[in-house]
Amino acid sequence: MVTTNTEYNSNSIQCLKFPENVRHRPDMYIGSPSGNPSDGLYRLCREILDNSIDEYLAGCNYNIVIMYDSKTHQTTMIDNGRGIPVGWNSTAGMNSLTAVVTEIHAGGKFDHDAYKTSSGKNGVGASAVNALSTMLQVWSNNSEDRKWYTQTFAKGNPTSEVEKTKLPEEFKQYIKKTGTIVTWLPDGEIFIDSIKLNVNRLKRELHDIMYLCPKLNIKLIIDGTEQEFYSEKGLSELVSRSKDTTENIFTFSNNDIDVALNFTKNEGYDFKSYVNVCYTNLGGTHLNGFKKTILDIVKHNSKEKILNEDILEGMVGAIHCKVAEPQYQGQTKNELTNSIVETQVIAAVTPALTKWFKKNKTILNNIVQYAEKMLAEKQKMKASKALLKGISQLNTGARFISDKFLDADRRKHKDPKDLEMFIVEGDSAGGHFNRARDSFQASLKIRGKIINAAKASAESLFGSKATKDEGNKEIRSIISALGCGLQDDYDESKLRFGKVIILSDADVDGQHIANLLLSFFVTYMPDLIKNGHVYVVDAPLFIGNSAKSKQFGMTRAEVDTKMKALGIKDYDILRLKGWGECTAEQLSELCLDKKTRKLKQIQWTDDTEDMLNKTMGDDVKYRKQLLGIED
Amino acid sequence: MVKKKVEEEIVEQISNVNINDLLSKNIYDYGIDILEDRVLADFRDGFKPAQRRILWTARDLKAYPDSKTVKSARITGDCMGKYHPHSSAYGSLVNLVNSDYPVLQGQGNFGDIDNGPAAERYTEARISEIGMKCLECMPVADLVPNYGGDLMEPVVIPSRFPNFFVKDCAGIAVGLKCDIPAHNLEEIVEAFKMIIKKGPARYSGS
Repeated sequence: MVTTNTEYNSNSIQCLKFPENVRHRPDMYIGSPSGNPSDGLYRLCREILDNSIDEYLAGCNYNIVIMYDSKTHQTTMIDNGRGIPVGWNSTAGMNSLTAVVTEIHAGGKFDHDAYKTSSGKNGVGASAVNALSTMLQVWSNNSEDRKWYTQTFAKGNPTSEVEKTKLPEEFKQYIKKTGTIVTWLPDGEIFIDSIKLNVNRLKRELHDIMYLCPKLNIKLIIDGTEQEFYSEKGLSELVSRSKDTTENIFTFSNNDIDVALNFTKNEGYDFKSYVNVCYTNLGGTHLNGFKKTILDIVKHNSKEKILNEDILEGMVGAIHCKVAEPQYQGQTKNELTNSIVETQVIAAVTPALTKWFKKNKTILNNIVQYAEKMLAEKQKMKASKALLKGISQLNTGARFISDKFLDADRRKHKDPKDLEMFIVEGDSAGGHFNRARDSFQASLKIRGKIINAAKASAESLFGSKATKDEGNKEIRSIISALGCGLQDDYDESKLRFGKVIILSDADVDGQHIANLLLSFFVTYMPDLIKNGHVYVVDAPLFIGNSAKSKQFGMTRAEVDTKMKALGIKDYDILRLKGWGECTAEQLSELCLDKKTRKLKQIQWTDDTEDMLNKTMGDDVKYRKQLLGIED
Repeated sequence: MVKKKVEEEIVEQISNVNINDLLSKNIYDYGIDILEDRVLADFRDGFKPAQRRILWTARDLKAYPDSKTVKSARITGDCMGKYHPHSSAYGSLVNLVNSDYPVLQGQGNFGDIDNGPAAERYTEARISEIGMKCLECMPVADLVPNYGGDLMEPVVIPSRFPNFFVKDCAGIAVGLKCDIPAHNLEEIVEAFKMIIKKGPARYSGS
């Protein structure tokens, strides 16, 4: 049993009133107050700024000045809006100026007549700032007599009455007629780590705000240095920040929705979404609606099932929605959840975008063509775009130098069709080969069993930039030596050899290696086989040697009968296992000399890819059947 | 002029081969060879072909338990030359020496779980007593020609020693794989005794 002495009764229930409630749990109102720079401290600034922006949205304000002193950390916000109303408010029982900054949920944002839409909405803004500041002072001239009134506060409590005053000299130049001035100093007791404002973040968000609020002039003055944020055209300037041509920009706007879409040649796509001048970094229903509109229209123009990411490739878009009662997922307003916004966006943007595409048919066609091409590429091979880029670099390399590759004499033989490349298994045959070969013959040595392209992933074949894997060396050297490219990039004119001859040993491992090589060619260079460039050597397994004659055969008996026919009795028979076993002369006779060698040209058939999967791929059934293995 | 004529006369002998047939034939030959002649142990004597050939070669060299050990390189060299034209002979020899009931007795560093063995030119080996038990019934063994057709080698080594049961075996072939754990010799002998007395039996757990 846990015994406790503290009593828990009706007196234990505490009822926190302003400003203690805010000061007690600041994170409920403005986010985390700790950290340097802290998120909460920035929100203070943003809450006051939002109030000024709401005046802009209501069409009453075109100037905002933000002043920040990096030594004292005092921040001042000046706008040319209507000003906070000054005068007795009977419901609150106090002056409305006092009520706005000392009462939670007091404000004009609940009145739809005064503000149709607003970026701040919970009425917490100014009062929370007040509660968390050691000093806060408000000026406003929205009174009956149009004179300036001011009041000061400390930690949320008023330290003076609402007094008539003269506008301070330093602010005079920024006020034209009406306006509000708020200045405050954050409380070090709440923001324990630092009361320094995150100026870079402020600049970043002002940069967004200026596109969302065209013709709103924002001045940021830090220690006297002034920076201006102003955009004439709004969103369409946001999507074309780089110097693209402006012809490719689609824009649409009505009272609630602002859309801009730029068709660039950049890699990837970028969409930004905003609701009531707040950046929604996780998007939400408004962005979904926008994307759906684009995708539906483009997909309507293609018969293929093209992929979304390919359609959006190169697009830079932005959407800004004004939503009367926005609902967000999460406290920090980063994902809009109002489902009606999606249908609204689709209904509004679809006709406009369809019309625009009709005018700019080439752009639509380009998108469809690109997406269809990418789809075909993706279906054919698993290699990603980035990989293909790496491989094409490999192909364009003018000279390819490797100790495993010996090129033919290209000065003597100008036409690559006359040249032959032998893919030789292992060093033991390769050494011979280099002595026996003619000037039009090149050799590429591969070591042991190469990777099975029918099973392996594209990354393990060609490497990937992410893992800094270089891929399979043998595969890379085959690609570089042939120079003709892969898959759709296959270019017959760049092929550096007329014949590619697989010269693996005549034992079962050699057969396996031949299959592994074919597996790569079928998967990634089918055209090489289709155009009849791939050969295997039709080599005998047995050689009968005698002083008078030499006979070849696939079996010992075949050699025997041939020798008998010639009447030779004194001969040795050599079983040719690997090419390392025969002499350079024999190799030349059997494989290299055009007069005496026998080649087999490999013929492509329609179901070859299927057959490859059966013999070398993941389909084990066929192989079990072939070998007579029962489950 | 003469040169040109010669060049024109060259007509290459090129025949066609269907890629499907080639793929299929190659994988069949390879698969059959791997199955029969490489990775799977024969259930009659428990040896993989390479291991059987090494024991057979050691017998050729007369490296019996009462004679001197011979260099591993001599065994593997003879084995590769005579019966096993592949590259894995020394690895198989090391496995034979390192098994729980070795048929070869090694001399020198044959490695342990962390370290590999010394090179084949350093280590030596001879047939152990167990190995002699395996070879006891050799006169009745079936012999077949080797790969070159000039020497004879056994299909299996008929053995009095239950090698298949006490030796572990692992291998992956085309379409099949094998994974047999090693067993305790005494327990195997007890099990045999029981089967001989009472007929077929089944392990019922404990």
